[in-house]
Amino acid sequence: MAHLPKKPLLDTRRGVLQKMAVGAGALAGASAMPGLMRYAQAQSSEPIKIGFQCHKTGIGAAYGRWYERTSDAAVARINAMGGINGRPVELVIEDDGTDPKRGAEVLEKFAKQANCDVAFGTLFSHVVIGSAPTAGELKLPYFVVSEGYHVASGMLNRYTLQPGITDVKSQVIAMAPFVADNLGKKVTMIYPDFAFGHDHRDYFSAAIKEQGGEVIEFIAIPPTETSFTKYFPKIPRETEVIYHVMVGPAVLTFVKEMGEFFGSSKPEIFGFIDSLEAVDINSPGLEFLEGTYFWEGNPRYAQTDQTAFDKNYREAVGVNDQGSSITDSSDVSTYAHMFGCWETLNVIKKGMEAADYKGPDDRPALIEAVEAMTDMPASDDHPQGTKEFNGKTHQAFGHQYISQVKDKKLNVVHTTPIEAGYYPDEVDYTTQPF
Amino acid sequence: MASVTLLSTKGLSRSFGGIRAVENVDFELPEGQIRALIGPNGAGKSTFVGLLCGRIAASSGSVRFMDRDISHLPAHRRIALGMAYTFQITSVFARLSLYENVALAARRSIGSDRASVDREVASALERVGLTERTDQPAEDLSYGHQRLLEIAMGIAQHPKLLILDEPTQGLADSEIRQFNALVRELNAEATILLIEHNMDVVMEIADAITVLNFGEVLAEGPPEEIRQNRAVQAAYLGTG
Amino acid sequence: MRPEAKSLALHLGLLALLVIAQFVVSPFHHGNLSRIMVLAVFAIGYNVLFGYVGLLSLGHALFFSAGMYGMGLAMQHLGVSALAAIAVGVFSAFVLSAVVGAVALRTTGVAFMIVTLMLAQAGYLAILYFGAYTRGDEGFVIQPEFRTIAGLDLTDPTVRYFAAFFVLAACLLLTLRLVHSSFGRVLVAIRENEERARMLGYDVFRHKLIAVIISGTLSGAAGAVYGLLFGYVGATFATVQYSILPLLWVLLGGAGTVIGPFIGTLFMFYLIDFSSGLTSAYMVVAGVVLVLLTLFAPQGLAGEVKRRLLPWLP
Repeated sequence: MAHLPKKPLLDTRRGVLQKMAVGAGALAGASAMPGLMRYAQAQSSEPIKIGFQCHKTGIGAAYGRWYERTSDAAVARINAMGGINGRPVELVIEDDGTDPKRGAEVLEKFAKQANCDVAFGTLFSHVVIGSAPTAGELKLPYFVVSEGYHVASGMLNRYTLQPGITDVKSQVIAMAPFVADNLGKKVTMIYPDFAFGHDHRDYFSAAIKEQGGEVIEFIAIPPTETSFTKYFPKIPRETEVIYHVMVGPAVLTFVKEMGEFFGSSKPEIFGFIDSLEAVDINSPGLEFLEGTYFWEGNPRYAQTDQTAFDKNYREAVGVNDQGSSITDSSDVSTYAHMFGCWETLNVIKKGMEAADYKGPDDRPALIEAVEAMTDMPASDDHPQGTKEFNGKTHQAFGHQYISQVKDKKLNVVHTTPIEAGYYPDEVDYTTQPF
Repeated sequence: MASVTLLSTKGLSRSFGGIRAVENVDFELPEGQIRALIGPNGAGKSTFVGLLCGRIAASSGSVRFMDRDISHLPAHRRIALGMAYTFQITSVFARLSLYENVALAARRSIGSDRASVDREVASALERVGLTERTDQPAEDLSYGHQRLLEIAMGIAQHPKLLILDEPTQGLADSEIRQFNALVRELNAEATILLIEHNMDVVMEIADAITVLNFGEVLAEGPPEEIRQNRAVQAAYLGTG
Repeated sequence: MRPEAKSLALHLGLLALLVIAQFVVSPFHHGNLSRIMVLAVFAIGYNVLFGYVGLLSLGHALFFSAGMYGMGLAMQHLGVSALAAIAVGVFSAFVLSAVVGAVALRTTGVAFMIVTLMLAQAGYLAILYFGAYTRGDEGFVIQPEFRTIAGLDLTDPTVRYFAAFFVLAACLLLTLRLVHSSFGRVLVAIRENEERARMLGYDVFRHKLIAVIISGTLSGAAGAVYGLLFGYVGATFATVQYSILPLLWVLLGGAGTVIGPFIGTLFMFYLIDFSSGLTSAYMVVAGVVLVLLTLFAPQGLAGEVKRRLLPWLP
């Protein structure tokens, strides 16, 4: 696509559907637009309904807001291109409160009450893990955008897939060569003492060893901690790199206190942007981050070598070159993750087209069609970059970006090859019955 | 009357932050007696019975009941041994029915057998004259009738020792006459320890009187003797 | 009819309705009812302590999650069968509630609330701390192939519905029995006037402790069954939110009534489900409804019915 339609044209999906319903007048209007024309011909078709399990409230709300905007934009684009199999796409949004119990209930609502064809969009791992058993029982394809390792670990089931974002195990493994080659081989890890932190601890310590480095100190921070000064003296003197993955509201305090502890003579510092998603890198107290490195799933700041795909994607979602909302620059996006929603919706579209999806009976065919996917080249469908999908583990693998904070901007200094994130398969979901 | 001692105390004391409410009391209560405990306000009467039944912990001294040292038993165990206590300030289960109030008192000793409990409740309520409206909540009763309900709860426990803390407070004169008769009737089964301000009641029904003053036993003896006692007159009865 | 007979008839009627519901309601409501019935067991457990003894605990998530993790960890790490795992879960909650009761009952009122809250928070942090076994905040899945009892597949909606129904029916009838027993009546006496109950010779501490144990064990049973029926064990169930929820369910439905916890759970489930369709501020809607109920039906739904119409309601 050379050009994305501007948002007002397709303001809301409901708007489009209502237009269709009113018939001739709407048709006349729609016929002026090639996009609408195509599903005007299939006007008798019901919309394809995609249940969007959204963290509107709870701890995931900042992510949820941006996941919703990205998904809306992706659906608007799909509809502008004629929908899926000639049918319009409708997002059915339900808040899960970032709670696994509610998450599972929401899936039941999608399947049994809203008659959704598939469910989609969950970020937080505990909600994914809490909901996936229900998805399996409902035989409802469940496309998550979580970056959790839960899918590829084999813990879930054949109906749960993650085709739009690389999982954390792969991300972490891919970081190790860069850290060892460029920052140092003696690493101290600082991480929250729960599952997310433990994943980093386990995967990174193994991966850095393969690169000839080692983690010389593990500093686990209890989740209730609000001040961190007592932990910094535990950092060994010979530390060359600090690897941190703190998350939550305390992260600003964490960075500030780390700055006070080290003063001007700091080791190299590498972190995951998860800590600072939806947070302005120019926030007071974050000055200390200047010169440090971050993993980014997708570069928040538009780079000098920005692809046309990223440019189009930014414009469609409504994000400026600094990674904030075009209407409110203080509203910083969750840019490193939210592309996963966009790409996943495009995977659903391709899968449904390949399976000639007509309704819930074709759900297994849809799963098989997605499982059969391999290459996902960089494109407007995949603006973050090329991906390889592993049908057996239901997990996508992509490039990772390492950025340095320079002049209060995140500049990409290294892009990992996809293969750097590979690890042996731990499950073959294709052998499980539907 | 040569008799068995039901309850006794030795050196029983209790102080509240330096104030000695009960001081070194030696007390003996023979089985079968009606004993009145009198004294001016603040003499320590309620504290003393609180120490007997374990509501209040003693600072020092001991309590014996039925030939057993009960000083270290918690209140509910002392009650279970055969004491019953009615509160000075009415303390019934306000939102529960009259029936349930008395049934709670009866069940502890006779168990949950429905027929026996029914019988027991009916009999206790009849003795205090509260036979009507047994299904209504206790809070609907007048104050005087709540006092009677308290006594019914005491009766239903079939205690060896019934402690009544100012039972006639709030009763009408006619009710007081019934009360006197009731206490005499109960005395056939139970020893009675009565804190009472109404001297007419005391003089009429008590076999013996103990006078407390400033937490100490001032005098003890039959009603006539107490009436004549100068120290008592000075401390409490005033002109007598 | 005697009050006991009337109330038995009422509760059996409710259970009969639930059996009929299995055959007539839509799949969506059918699935919801399965969840509600298990959660109602949690509320029933909570109500034993709050409604009948008058003790407000802010730590019942501890018992619910003890049941859930006892069940889940036994299956995951010891490989025991589903039924045995449920037993492990219930037993865990039993032991834990005995310990918590022994500690927390030394306090009363606000202190009791705080102690239970702190102990539950300690339980939550313990789940995170032992992340190597519990998978911390993420939790873990109970795989479908292990979710069978006596050859019955608990992932099947109908089987699951009846499993939930069976547990609810057992707990409902058990509580009914309890509140009609002399033990249950002493609990009410303690709620109404603790000092008077003591001075009738009842061992108040022992009664309260047993009530905490019954309450905690029922809550644990609910947690174990919930985890098994829906295939997930996770630390969110140990957060303070899951200590507040049973309190709300019981308040809504009517504290100190046997049927109230079920009514409250049902009502709140659909309140959230309905209002979340209207606005993302659905907790505000739920909050407003709660405030209105507190103003106009302070005894909760079943409590109000008891007050106005059916004074014999247990």
